[in-house]
Amino acid sequence: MKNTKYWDDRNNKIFSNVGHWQGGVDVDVQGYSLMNELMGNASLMQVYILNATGKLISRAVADWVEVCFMGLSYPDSRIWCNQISAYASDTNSTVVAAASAAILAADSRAYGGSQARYLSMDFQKNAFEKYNRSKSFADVLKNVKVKNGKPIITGFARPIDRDDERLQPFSDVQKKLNIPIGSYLKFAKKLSDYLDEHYNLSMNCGGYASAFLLDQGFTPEEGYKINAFAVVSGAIACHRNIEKESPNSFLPLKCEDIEYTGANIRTVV
Amino acid sequence: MKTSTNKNNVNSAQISSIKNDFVYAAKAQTSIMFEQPSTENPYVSKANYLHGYNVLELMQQKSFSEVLLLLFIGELPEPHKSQLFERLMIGLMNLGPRHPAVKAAMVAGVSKTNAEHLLPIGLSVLGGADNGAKEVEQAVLFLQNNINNSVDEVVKQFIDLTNLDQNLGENHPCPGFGNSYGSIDEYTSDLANNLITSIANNEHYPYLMWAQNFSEKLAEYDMGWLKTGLAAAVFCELGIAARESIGLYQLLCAPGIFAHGVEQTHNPITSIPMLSDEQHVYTYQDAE
Repeated sequence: MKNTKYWDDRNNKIFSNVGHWQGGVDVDVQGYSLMNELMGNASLMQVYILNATGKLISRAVADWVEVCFMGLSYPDSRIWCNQISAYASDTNSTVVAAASAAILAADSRAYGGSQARYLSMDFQKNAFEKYNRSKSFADVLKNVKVKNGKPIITGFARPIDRDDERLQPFSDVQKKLNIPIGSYLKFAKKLSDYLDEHYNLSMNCGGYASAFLLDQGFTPEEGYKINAFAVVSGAIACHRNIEKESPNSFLPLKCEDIEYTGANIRTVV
Repeated sequence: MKTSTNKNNVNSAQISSIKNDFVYAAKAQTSIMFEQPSTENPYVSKANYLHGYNVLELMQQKSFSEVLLLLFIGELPEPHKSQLFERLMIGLMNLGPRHPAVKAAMVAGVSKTNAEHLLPIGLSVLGGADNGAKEVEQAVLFLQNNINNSVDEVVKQFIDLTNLDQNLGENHPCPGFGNSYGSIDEYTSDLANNLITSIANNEHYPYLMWAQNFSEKLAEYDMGWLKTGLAAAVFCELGIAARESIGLYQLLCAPGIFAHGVEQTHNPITSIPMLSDEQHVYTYQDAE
């Protein structure tokens, strides 16, 4: 017989280091009592981040992340994940299906704040280390992919437009909450100035949020988890916007609205 | 009605000027389907052409598997290729009630999740990089990159990089190949043998033959074919590209996921075990 001890140990047994529900009594969340310590004392975002990372962060940092979430989810159905939620509403799929589809859609290397947050934090973490060694932005950008003559760096270019309306409130709220600007954010601002001067690119809210999370001691993997559902609010709004409409009423297309570029009409032989 | 009066709002001309770094197409494009519009209603199609073929004609003359391959590769396949594909489809139709994707659909089904969510739930789980569709993509790339390399050398290269202690869990030294619960996946090896012995001319199937040799060499390390590797080898033979292989694998495995999930919806919520407190072993570790 093969050695199956690894699997035998786990057969009908769950090993957990994240928490435990003791029915009718309490729930342990990473060493904290949900009923007696967290409920009424911690904010939803604090508990959410505790579940996502195992770290109970300060109320101020959680409040800033909450503001960041507000900036990651707009009630506008033109935005890709929201458009998907609206399509779900158009077929009368449930709001939960729409929300899930939108969250999945935003698991994207191009936008959305979840995978994009991971990519941005990972880049900034490595770039920060490189810059501290060489003091050269040219060195930092040496291996970055380039498209149309511009480096592709998640968090330092915005698909829709160049000015990001969220940067000011992000900065203002950070100040209001007395959260100091850390070394990653200082570095990100310097990198942004360099990119602006050389490539007409600048930091967007994702770049800011990534630097902020690094300054709070989070890893890129934790950033991914924290932002996993960040787009859900606007997606639900966009589902609501369509739910009373007739089927096929959201962005209906005429046949000719799709440009066919494939094979000519042919016959099966 | 409340309308926006924000003085900071930009007008559409301003928006187009700040969007100038990014040019969006006026229309979506596709090379897959042409929908011929009705003369009466431009929103209604009168005939649909799949890669140039009238779908009605395909319905009359071609099998499901042939048209499915047409959809992904743009051409109707040779008969021996569609036969290979159809055999793979049967082999992968049901991953079995112990695969995480199927278990997910079953747990959803028994816990009274809406039936229309069962398949998306299972397919999301099946999207993973271990025993899932992302592994198929990586396996396609692995086979494409190694098809001209010596099997012996590739085995040596990957085994050298691998920690062979099976008590650390499953080991997939390269995508699509490895052990399953610590040993050779016997059923998948049989699936592969069945596919290979049904092939009339081995020369037409270099990827399958390479992967079979590779699996035989891995056997001395108690490893071999995984379902993801088998799918990848067949997809390589059929000209399915790596990214396309992701969804095609999910599609092929979908029937079993849904069947097992929906079966559970007819059962009471108590018909799948709920582990006791003793079976949930909690060890608190301070992350900070």
